[in-house]
Amino acid sequence: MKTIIYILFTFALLSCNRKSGELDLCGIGVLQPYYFTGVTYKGGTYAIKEQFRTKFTPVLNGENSGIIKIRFDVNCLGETGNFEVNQFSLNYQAITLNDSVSSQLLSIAKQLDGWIPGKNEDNEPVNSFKFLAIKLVDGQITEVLPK
Amino acid sequence: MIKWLKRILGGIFTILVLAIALFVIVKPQPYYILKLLVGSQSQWFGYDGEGNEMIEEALDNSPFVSASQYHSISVQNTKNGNYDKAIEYLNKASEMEPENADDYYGWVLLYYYRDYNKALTYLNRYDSYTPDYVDYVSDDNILYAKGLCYKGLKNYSKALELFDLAIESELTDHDENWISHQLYYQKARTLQLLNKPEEAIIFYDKTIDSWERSSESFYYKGLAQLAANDTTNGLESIQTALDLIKKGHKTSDSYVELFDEVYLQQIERSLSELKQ
Repeated sequence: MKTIIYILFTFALLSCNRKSGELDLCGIGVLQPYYFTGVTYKGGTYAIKEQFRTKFTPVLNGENSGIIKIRFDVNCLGETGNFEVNQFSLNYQAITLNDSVSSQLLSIAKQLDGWIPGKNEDNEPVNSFKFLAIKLVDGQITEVLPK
Repeated sequence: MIKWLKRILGGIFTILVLAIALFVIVKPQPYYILKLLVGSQSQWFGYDGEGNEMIEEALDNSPFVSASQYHSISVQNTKNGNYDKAIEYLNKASEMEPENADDYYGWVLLYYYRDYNKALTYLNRYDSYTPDYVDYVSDDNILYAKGLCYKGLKNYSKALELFDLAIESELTDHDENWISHQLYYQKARTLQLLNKPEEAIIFYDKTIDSWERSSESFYYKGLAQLAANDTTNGLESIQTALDLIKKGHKTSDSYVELFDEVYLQQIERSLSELKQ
């Protein structure tokens, strides 16, 4: 019974899949969470942080403290797409940060090309969704979360 | 016979259509319970906007929402990085039942948000509910969790004080086997940050005693040995860390980066720089 509900639910979601066409998702296009599939980056969070550290130019004016969340999909080939950006204050309220902050960070995230696809229980590569949250204080990156 | 069969099937069909119509139009309570479940499941599949809309509608139409329900909804939103929603729901849970919510609130702010000041506020409040008892938040001794907050705030002396209290409480209530690898590891890291490499090495050795494949301990022990002018052993320890991490031995978590987690590239870079 649980399996039937799961299948019906999956089909219901796929029928309204808003992301088709932006990134070629493998199979029938089901996405699973990063923590379930274990999608990783070559070199781990250390390598991701290095990319942000070396490519980001601090923004010293305007609204420059907060959290930029960049959400994206990683398909079974390790390709990324369907990027979405959300912005929060350091008190976790939705805000809009200086354009230069979000555009720089999105651009760096899009350039990350070392994604190792997540896998299913049969050890086959699958589609995953993933996010990075970059915390900034006074225009400087202080954290890259969650991993 | 066929006529009666048609009437029975027609009757069942009509009842089914009426039931569905009643469910969708009148929207009794089970409709919203189902909507909450579908909303949560949608979020699991990454449909955050749609999922949260369904959840909000369900909550708005529920006569009572418990603190644990708010807590559960917050958890999925944290995992998906919907920080505004996650904190909104966690605030509601904490307002309703602080004694049952503040431990998770403090812990999640520490590990997932790296919001050390706010984490301390909730951890201290949770700790105050049972002043004579050392609580645990998730699997962590609360004194250790508070120590991590101070370490994050670069108040290393206070962090060390709390790590020592956490170790003392574990030894009083249990024995040394209860002291986690991470507790000794963080004490060692803090000693190193306080420029006490010789003392740090003692505690790295304790973590290695408890787990001989701790690549992170070998790596930072090597750096401490170098700081203590023991170059030969320092390089050897870092080489051991490299060998171990290449075999996949390191501590990590599926959801978040751990504190002072080490990486292959990091160790390779250090070795390369040291050999130049």
